[in-house]
Amino acid sequence: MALTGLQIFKLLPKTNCGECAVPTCMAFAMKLAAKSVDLAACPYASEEARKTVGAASKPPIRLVKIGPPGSEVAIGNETVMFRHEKTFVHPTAFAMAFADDQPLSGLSHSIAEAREYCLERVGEKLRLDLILADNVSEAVAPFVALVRTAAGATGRGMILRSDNPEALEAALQTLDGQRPLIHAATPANAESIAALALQYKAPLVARAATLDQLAELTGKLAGLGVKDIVLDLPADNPAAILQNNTVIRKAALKNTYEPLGYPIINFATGRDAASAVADACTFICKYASIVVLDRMEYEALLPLMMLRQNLYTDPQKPIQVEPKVYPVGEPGPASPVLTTSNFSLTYFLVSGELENSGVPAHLVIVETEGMSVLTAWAAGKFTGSRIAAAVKASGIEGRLTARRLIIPGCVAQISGELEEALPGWEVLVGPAEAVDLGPYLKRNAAR
Amino acid sequence: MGYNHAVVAQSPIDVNMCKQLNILLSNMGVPPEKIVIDPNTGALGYGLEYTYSVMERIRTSALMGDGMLAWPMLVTPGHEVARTKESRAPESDFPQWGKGPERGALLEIATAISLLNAGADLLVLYHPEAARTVGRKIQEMAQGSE
Repeated sequence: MALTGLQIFKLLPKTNCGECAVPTCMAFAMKLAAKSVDLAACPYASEEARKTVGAASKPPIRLVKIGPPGSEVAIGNETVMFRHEKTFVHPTAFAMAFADDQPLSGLSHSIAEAREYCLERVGEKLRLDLILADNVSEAVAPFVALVRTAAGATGRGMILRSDNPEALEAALQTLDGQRPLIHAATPANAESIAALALQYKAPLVARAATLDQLAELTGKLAGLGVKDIVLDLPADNPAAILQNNTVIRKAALKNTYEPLGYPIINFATGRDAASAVADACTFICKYASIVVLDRMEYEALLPLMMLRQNLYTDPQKPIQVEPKVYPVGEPGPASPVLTTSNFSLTYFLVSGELENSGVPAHLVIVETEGMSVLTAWAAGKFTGSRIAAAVKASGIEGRLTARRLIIPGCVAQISGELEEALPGWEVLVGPAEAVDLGPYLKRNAAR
Repeated sequence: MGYNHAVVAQSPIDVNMCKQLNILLSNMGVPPEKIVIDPNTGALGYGLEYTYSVMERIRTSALMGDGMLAWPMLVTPGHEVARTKESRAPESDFPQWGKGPERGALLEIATAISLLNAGADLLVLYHPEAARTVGRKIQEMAQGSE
């Protein structure tokens, strides 16, 4: 249960000594409540204060790390039901599953594909995060062979799915020190699988048939010393999974219900591509920390990568590109000059349309703190003087034979003030929509 | 109102403007059962998360008692996704995007399902495959968790 500033203040020395780098204990207490400082900064905090504040600041959903250093994946530690309340924190990890009942030689191509897959979008490189090895054969040797090959070939964190404790142990030995996620401990085998998890310092999936059984199981595992747990409550119907995910997230956040305070794993496997995409989207939207996939079709991965990127954007920190002059094509001294905001989406849309137009151009990107054109104008970040300053600072004036600046149609109203701020320049009002840039530039090329 | 039609109230991904429009329509005498909210759909990769969050905010406000946001929501994944480069470009131009024909449908499905999770009540789709899959998923989800 989160403590208020006042509750924390009552536990502090109240001497206002300032050694925590904050002037008063009250101010320090408010910062502690906002989790923007650590109690460790106060040299005089009592044991009681440390215990109480420590317990209250324990994350409601455990942070779990999977995989070897270098390609470690962090999941959990979410703090909201809805991204607009603050933000989602750790993007859903995608795990590609491979079964050990296929000849390994046949799988090596797909495993390599899983390693190589990289989608570049809006300046980010999007990849598959984990590999799941499935012990379908229930035998030890093929499982170990698959695990060794997949881990070695991809360097990614592994999920070891097996009902055979012997196979699990053999695989864990192979991956010693690489922190794979063990799937899974159940009410029937909790003690023995927990022992493996502790011995190999590996996080552990807790799997049960109902929410109550799951809560009981995690309580048992925690009692045995297992801290890094991931929850699996299997269901065929995506509605059931949606409901379970929601109940778990709510219990952890709203009720600080510790037995369910862990990240969730969902499976979007064993389906046709359309169903897999549809279900995976629901899981990504609604609280899954790991989604397991078994299809490598690029057209099926594309929407999932894009959705994850979109949903896990911090609503308060829109993605931005560096403000500077971007050449589109190979522009020369007579090429048109355009300007727009540094919101990533704006930049990629506009530059994309400019590329398509086939007309080389100079694109002056103005620092607008990631706001779109109209938003930035309304906030006074995309005004005549700000654009003029960006143009002057870029040094592009010296490289041009014709000084004509095309502004986005939505801010036609600034053309006068911009011309005043940029003497010697002609300001043209371009189209309101990026998609009209091509025709606009071709029409005006003759000038 | 003269011909007893329902009206779609469209606002530019803004909770306050959505509410204001609904108030204006209500004050003009449009019956409550004749209004549908359109928060303006952004396609996957082109502003989806803005629509998504605005819809969640509209729906949660309505469920907590805000009568001027308590209407069904309409989304247009078909139109928006069809405009995107990702739904139309040939695989040869962008091999990382996979096969062209299937891709358009899957992008529309992803946009539609995401907005369904944000509270969409009426989805306007273009691709027949998307309509089939999304329709099937709605049936599955409506049957509930047995």
